[in-house]
Amino acid sequence: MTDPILEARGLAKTYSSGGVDVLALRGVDVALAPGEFVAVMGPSGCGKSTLLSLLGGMGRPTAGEVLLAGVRVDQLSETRLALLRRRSIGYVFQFFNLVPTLTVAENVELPVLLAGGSRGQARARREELLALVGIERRDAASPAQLSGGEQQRVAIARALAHRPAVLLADEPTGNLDSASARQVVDVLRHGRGEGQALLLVTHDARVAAAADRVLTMRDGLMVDETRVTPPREVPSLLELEV
Amino acid sequence: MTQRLGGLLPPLNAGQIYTTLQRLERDGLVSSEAVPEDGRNKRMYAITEAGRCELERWASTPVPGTRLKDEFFMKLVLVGLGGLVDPKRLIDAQRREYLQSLRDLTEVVRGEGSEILGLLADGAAFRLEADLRWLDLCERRLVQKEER
Amino acid sequence: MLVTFLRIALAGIRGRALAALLTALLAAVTAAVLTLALGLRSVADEPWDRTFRETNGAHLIALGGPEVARLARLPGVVEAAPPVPGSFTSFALAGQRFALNALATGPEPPRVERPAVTSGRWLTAADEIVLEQSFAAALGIRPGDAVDAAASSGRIRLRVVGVAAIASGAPYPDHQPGIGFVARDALVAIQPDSERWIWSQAVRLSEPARADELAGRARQSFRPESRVVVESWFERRSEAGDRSRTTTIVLTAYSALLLVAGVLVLVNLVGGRAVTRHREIGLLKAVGFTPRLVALLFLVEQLLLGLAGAGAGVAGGAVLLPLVAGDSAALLASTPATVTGAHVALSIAAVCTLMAVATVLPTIRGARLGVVHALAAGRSRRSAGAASRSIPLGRPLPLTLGLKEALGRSSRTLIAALALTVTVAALVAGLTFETTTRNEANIDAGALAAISRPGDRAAPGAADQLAPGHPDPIAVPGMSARLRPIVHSLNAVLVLIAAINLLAIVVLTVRERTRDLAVLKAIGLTPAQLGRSVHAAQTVAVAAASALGIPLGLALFLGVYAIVNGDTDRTAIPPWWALAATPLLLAAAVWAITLAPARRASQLDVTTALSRE
Repeated sequence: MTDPILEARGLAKTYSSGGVDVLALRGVDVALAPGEFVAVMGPSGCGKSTLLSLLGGMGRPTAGEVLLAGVRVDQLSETRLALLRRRSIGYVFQFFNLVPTLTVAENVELPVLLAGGSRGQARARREELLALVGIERRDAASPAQLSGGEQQRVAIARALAHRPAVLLADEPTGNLDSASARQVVDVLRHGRGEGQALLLVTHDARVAAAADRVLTMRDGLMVDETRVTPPREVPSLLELEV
Repeated sequence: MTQRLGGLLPPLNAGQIYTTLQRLERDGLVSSEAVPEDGRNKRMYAITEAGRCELERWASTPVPGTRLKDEFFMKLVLVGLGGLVDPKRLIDAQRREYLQSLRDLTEVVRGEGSEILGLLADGAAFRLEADLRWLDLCERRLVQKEER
Repeated sequence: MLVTFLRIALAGIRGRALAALLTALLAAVTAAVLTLALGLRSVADEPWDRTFRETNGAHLIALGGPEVARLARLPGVVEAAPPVPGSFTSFALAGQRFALNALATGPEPPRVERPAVTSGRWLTAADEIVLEQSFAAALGIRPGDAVDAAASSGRIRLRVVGVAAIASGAPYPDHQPGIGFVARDALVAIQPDSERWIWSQAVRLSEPARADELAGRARQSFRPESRVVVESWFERRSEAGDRSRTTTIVLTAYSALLLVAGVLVLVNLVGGRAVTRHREIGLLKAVGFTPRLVALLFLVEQLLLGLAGAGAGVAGGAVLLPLVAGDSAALLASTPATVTGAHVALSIAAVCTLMAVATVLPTIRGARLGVVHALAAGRSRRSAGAASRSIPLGRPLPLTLGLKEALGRSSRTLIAALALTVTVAALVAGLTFETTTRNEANIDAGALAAISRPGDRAAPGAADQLAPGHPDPIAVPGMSARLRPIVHSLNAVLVLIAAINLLAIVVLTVRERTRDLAVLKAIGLTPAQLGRSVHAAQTVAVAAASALGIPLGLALFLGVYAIVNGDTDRTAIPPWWALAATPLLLAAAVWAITLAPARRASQLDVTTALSRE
């Protein structure tokens, strides 16, 4: 296996809420190879979203380490982490979370500009991505004018905009019907050819089944790993009693 | 039939079809007559009134919904909880199988692109999802209880 | 049921402690400002008439020998006090001599033209004196001080035990000499020769409107050689009106500014709450609350906050009013401004009514939505306006993001800009006032120097021979200079209001924006950039306030000055650098106010921010 692009070792996180310590993660190891698609499943509260936010540098682990391209990043300053995110990480949230005061186009251009791209580059990239996600001629619309599925696709376009090495997605299909969900997963895999790795948290087994590996979490621990292979044979779905 | 269900039908052989039709004619559900064509006799089958009634009865009888027959459950309870094999290993293996089946289904639907077929595959996928959830339940109720 | 209801309302308040605190604070500020504005307005509103009423002022006064008592027998007189004897004297203070008209009203204040004690007490002993208010204020004398009045036997020490207002012609120093009330024994000590006393007889008439006519008839009834002077209340009122006009105009202008500032705080308060609580409405409806009950619950919640805040605010306003308006009452020689029950009721009612309307309307609208819809509508669905779109997203990113944000939330930015504009206008007006005061002083000093050069030899020691009514040029500051403390303290109040309002706006905005800021952080904005974008959003308000406030302030001052003086010849515009410094100072102040919320924004935790509703 190639060297992992993103790796977590013995990751643990304790939240204290109301004087009670809650163990969200209790020592998790994950490795994500370039181009790989890994899905994390588990019941709500099992720590999968916490894992994702720690991997995305949006929280500090209580113990353990996070390595991006072999470099330890969990102890970096907030500013360094932000710089890291704008270069290497794309994040898709469950509730779209587009910036309401920016237009659809500006939402997608923002990461390119942040990563140091010119306005021309940002525009070209935005046109390419919005065409990819099937939202065209809506550039000047504000996010509120779009449906939930459309907003999510714009959010994915935004996450892909700066060609991050790692794409992290938290329940990206949580609010969508199954047809939209399939589209979303297809779009998320768009960057696979460029070696973009995808880590997706979901409780939708059908979305997870599209991954190369499915990890199952329970109570802050990784409890199972399934390597899903391309289809074995065309199975017989009808058994006629003759 | 082949047109509607496409590649998902198991391959049918002609002999099997004729045996079935003869059996139906014997029971008076279909009738047949010989029609000469291209110098050979071709047998044309038509459905009888009794056959139509029987077909209607068959179609309108609901398919039983409860399914207590579950092979995996037998394995889990008899062997897994009996202590011969680690039940968690059984559950994990089964989960992998279900996930893989789900993946296979997805690819099939994508390959065929037929709406009728998609519906069938979606149904199967929903059942697989339910199976996966049920596996989680088995794990929580049976395995974790044992660990405590 | 009621108890449960109140408990739910209180739980609602506790659940959003910061928002509730902010609401109560804004309600308090609004109520305080309204109380202050109403109080100021009442000081400026007919100060002389008010004092005249409260002191049972005389419609006619006759001054002269003992024969003035005959005025009391004039037909049409309904009430008369015994004639009051008095004598002119003087006393020294801080190296200067001041003339004093000592009136021997005695231990029992007269029924007509009865001085109203505004601080300290009325006199009880022969070595005590009560000074007229504008006189005491101009000289800086307070109860507890003492004056050594010139007397026949050298000096007599009089302890100042109180200060009292009276509806005299004009406030000191426009009306000289200053007035003091003493016991008969003290008068005797000052001027033992009762032949030289000046008597005054005050009467009230059944038909006050005919005072001028009766005054003419009274003058005829006295022999011309008796040199009796009869004054009607109309003459005194118009003299007082001329003298207090500047003060009343300035106070009226400020009470209007305060009202505007108060309304802006209120709008902000109401706007902050109008962030409709759709989600909460949905939850309440889901457990069986009817729309009307939901509205009632929110109303009770708001009114609890509003009443608590407004109550505290009115109390604060009442404490603040004498500090701000105390000088003005003295300047007007009127009874002091007080917080009346009507003011309190009006302030509290205004705050609570607007809060109630602002709560009930959106709540009812929200409560009409279906449960599911309401729950889903909890998420913000704001769209970027045209103004926001006109700014292209570019570098520096924090600046353009902040500007777009400010223009996207145009109503809140507008309130911030207006609040700042009022303050800038007041400050610029204050600055121009200051420059003009100096200019006037220079002009006067030049004129004075030209006049007093030939009279130099008369200057030292001449004070002892001060004649009654002779103005003391050095002791009389110009009107502008006397108004200075009032203008500056009112400016300070306006600055304070704007600061609180702005702070509330920034805190509310950052709270509302938490989710957006978290998303920006997730995309890769550094903490410093997040902070800068919050600061940048305020620059719109600062720029607008500077552009509008500076010309507005100049116009305000020149307008008021023109109304007061009839022309603007003696005004002086502040130097350009002082005007240019105003927006810079404003920007710095706004930056400082935004510091804490911006810091909060930059340190926000993405995960918790996004998981919060």
